[in-house]
Amino acid sequence: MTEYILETKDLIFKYTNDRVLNEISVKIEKGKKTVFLGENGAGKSTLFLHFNGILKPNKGKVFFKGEEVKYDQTSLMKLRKSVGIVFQDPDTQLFSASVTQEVSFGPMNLGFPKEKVEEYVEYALGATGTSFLRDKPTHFLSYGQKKRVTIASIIAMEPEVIIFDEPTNYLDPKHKIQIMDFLTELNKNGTTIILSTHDVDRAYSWADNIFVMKNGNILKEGSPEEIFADSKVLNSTNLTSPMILDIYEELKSKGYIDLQKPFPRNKTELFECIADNAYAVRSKL
Amino acid sequence: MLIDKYAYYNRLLNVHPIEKFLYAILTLLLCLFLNSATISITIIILNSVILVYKAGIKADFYLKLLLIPVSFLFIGTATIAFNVITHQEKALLCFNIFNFNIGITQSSFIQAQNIFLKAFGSVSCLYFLALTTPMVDIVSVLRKLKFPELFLELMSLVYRLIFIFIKIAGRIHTSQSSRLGYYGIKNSFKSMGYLISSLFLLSYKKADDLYTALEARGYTGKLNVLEKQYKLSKKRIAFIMVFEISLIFLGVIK
Repeated sequence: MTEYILETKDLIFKYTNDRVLNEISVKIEKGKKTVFLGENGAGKSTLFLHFNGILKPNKGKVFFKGEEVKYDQTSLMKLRKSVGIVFQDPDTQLFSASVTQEVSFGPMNLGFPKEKVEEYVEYALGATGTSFLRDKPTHFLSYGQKKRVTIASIIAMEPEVIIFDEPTNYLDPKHKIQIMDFLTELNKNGTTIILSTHDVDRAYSWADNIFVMKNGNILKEGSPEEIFADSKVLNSTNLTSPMILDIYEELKSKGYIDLQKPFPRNKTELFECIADNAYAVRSKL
Repeated sequence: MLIDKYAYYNRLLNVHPIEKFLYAILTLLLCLFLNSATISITIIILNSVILVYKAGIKADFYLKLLLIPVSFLFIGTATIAFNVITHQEKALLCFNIFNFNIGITQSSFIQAQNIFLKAFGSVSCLYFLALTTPMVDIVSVLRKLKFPELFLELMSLVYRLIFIFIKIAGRIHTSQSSRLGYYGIKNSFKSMGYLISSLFLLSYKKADDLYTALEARGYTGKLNVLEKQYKLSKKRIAFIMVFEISLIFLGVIK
């Protein structure tokens, strides 16, 4: 049986009178990589804020590990320890002028003894490759460094779920790859990862499960193959289909693809499809 | 801001902030209360030597920093030095403006000079603290001295937000000037107005976002953070004490 770590049921949320979230029911699988796609203003960030109790739904429920989320101080503390959010703009997340202090904030709030906090900070800085920034003031860091420090400040709380709001925005290609590899690594170690992005190529090759949102609704949920095969959903949310998939379809229609192989999820798999076909053709001649 | 950069990249960074704080504040107080030119000069020279040779602050930068308050001090002390003079024979310098004799007497000159040196000495003490001690450390010292938590948290948040503020203001300014926003006086005033009003709105939004981000990490009204550990040096504290006591002697003997 699949285990769901986060769940919402008929969740409605309004800012003043407009429904930002309209009866959202989603189930996030434990230990998986879940991606939310959708245009700006679709409600992704608002939904994320419900996942660790920052926002309280006007109607509907949120469940963590099958238990309904309660909004008293103790329950919220427990939820926020388990579900961390890395916000889009690192400058709004970093409140301290010192990297070490920033990273220690979460574990200190959890009331750990000093030695343990130090241990967690050490671990988080090491894991994000920011140990050398330890004594640097946050306002001297580059954008990529700030991003990594914000991630460290969440990891230091050892959450079971980490939510990333557009983690690769404004990053250069090298750092994009670094961050995504790091998220994969985190996921391998058992952390459930949820993220929002506009990068369909990355979503397609990286996600286990994708949700597509529009105007506060969930349009479709499914595996990357299922989502990107649905041209109706793609068109209505102005998503393009991933490059890999376009090439695959084109080559398939021309008969250059070995159909025995599964759908390619990345470049290497696509090349294999082509190479295998070429090999088969050549051996027939 | 170079002055802030030095706070993190000086050679006294690893000295316990309490020692630096103690030195700067005690010296500052003595400079103010002993009220003597010799002592003020001693303090200015000693601070300069420590900052340039011990802390590794570039001498030309430090000189420029010292020059900033000089103009204020000159204007401020000049008004003390110049007085209406009744006995012209006692004056060192005397003008006649609108039937008033205005000039400097020996005593007013000495008074102005003392105040000038006193203020200059105090400024050099504060520079010492600002150039060698990061804000985070100053806050941690004040916390040990039992300053109210609210005050300290405001202090650290304001410090952090100043940099965001400057960055955003810079960006808005660039985007305005690239559209000729500062072409001519009329435009400049208008653009400056827009800049200020959007800064207000943005800072409100930033503050909101920051609060959300803090809340997401379990903020309950207190900014708990790990403070950096330093070692107190008995030798240095002894040196500071000897120095302060000898200053007192110097001041009292005179």
